[in-house]
Amino acid sequence: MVTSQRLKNNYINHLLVDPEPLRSVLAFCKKLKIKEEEFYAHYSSFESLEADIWQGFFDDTIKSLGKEEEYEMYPVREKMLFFYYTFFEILKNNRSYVLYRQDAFTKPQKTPGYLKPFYKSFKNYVNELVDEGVEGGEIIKLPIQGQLKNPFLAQLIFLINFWCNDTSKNFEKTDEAIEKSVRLGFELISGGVFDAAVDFGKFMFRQFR
Amino acid sequence: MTKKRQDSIPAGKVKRASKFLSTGFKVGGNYVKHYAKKATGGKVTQESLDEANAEDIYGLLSELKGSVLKVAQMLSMEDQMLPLAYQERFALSQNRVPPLSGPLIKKTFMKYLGKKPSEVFDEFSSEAKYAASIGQVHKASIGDENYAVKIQYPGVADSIQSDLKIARPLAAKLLNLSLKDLDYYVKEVESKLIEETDYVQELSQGMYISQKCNHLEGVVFPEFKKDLSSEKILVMEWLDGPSLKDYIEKNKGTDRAGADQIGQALWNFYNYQVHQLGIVHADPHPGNFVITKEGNLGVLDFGCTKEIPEHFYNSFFALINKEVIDNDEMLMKYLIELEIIKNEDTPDTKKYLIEVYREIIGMVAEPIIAGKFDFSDRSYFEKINNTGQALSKDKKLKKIGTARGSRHAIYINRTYFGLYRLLHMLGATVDTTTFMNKAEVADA
Ligand SMILES: Nc1ncnc2c1ncn2[C@@H]1O[C@H](COP(=O)(O)OP(=O)(O)O)[C@@H](O)[C@H]1O
Ligand SMILES: [Mg+2]
Repeated sequence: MVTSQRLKNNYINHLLVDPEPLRSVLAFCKKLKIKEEEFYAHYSSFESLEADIWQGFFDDTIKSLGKEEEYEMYPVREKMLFFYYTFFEILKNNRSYVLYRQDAFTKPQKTPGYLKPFYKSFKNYVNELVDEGVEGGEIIKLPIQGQLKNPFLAQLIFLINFWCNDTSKNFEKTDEAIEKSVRLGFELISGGVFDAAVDFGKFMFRQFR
Repeated sequence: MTKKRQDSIPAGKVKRASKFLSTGFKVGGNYVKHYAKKATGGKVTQESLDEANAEDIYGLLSELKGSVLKVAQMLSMEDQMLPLAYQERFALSQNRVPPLSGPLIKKTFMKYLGKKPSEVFDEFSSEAKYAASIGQVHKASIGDENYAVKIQYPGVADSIQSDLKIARPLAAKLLNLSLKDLDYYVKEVESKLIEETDYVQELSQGMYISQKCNHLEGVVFPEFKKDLSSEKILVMEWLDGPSLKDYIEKNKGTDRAGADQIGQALWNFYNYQVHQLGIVHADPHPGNFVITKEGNLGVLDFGCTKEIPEHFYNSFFALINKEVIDNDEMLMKYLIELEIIKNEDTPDTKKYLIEVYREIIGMVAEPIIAGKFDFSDRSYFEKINNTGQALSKDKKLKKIGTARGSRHAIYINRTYFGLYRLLHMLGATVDTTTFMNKAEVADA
């Protein structure tokens, strides 16, 4: 029986290497020399397969964070930073694929279906962090739940896009973008805006010069 | 009446935050900048905006040890020549760089050492003990050995270059120089600032100088940990004791013998490097020294060192000689070698520069020519300041232009002025003739 991992790998491989678009699940299965029903045992469509790729990035990140003893001890802002650093380490192994899909992040108005489950998981994760932050007094109480959480998705999209365009060695600039933008985000909801805004603004200014 | 745009921005903090975040991340820096101005609550005139930017840029620059200030200071030889307003601005601007987050520290450790801080050290302070100019210093330990761990902020080298680009026109205006003239010096400063961002280089400079100077009495160095250091992480032995700054504040004039001893150690350390090594620790700042409980001078921070080219050394120190200073022809010869007088200058200009530099050099060389000098002497420093101020207002000199002198002089002047200032603050009397003569030391 074919594994979901093999399906995902081959699908990515096809997207990145093959010039011909895949016409159907059947065509894909023929290439892999598997029965079509083996594909459907895992996924209902290419979209659900690709959704699983992104969900996989997210799950791997959370799994990796779970192995870090100090993660639990950090305040929520540091947890968020930890999440991003880990997440981009994982994305690094799949950079070609993410670059292939960069359009989805440069035009975030139209969210492709395959990103929706990933975004939902991310939002749930942020919700938990925000709740934890409110409880611990790190974040001011929100009059309307959820209002604060979308911006974090915007931040995620901003950072993925930034990383796609990052040509610095070891993607050091992405580290800087993570550090400064997360700081800004949290300062906005917990106090002093100005320093973080200037710090981040200056950083962005350098990127456009 | 239609509402102004600002008014339509939701006032609630949360709304503002979320609106700002989602818009901000999409359009990036410009909006952030715009919003930042609004967030301050002040009027958003172009002028106030420029002012805020300028101030911010200056603040940032002084964090990076003041690129502009450095250029300005070095060119004018003395910071008294800087307009007071600028000085205050520079002095007041505080360290705005936020500390590195725990996760980024961990990531940096993983990248360079393949281990977490807690795996490398038995103990590692989660909070930084000191903010360094381009990084931060943590205290760590293995067994009963304590270590200083300096970790660099990301993107520092990049921002130095862009800051200098922004700062160039400001500095040129401040110094009344053409950009072309300024660039000759800016290059020297820029290359030094960039060097400071490479901790591998700092490590090897520190190891070299400390090994060569280890025999000097009263001077001690931290032991560097090469195997734990890299581009962005520098690990060395922790030196216990108050910084020279704190020592001076606490001892203000009460322990003259102690001050003399430390002052002599400082002088010996610098003279030995300049005259015997040909490379010098070029950042004599009171934060870069600690006084150990044995009363020794502990030297830190080898990020900025200056190699002294032989030809420059020969012309520069030839001037520390009464006979040369008093002799027009000889003085001119060396001033030409040091690029202060140009061959194409008119005879009148040459003559005037000789006079001016005779005065400056005579003054600056006084402690060395005297052989033994009491640096607590206020009148000496007042004389330097007054001359500096007078020269800064000198119309004739202004017309001649101040962009003169070899680029190598920048860091050497800075080193000596820093040293003089430290000795003055200490109120020390020192023998200034130590280690001057190459041959003598080689024979001994
Ligand atoms: N080995 C050390 N022992 C004790 N304190 C240290 C040590 N190294 C650095 N520090 C402290 O950290 C501060 C900043 O370190 P420094 O190397 O001077 O950084 P920078 O190059 O940014 O000036 C120092 O002024 C000193 O107070
Ligand atoms: Mg220092």
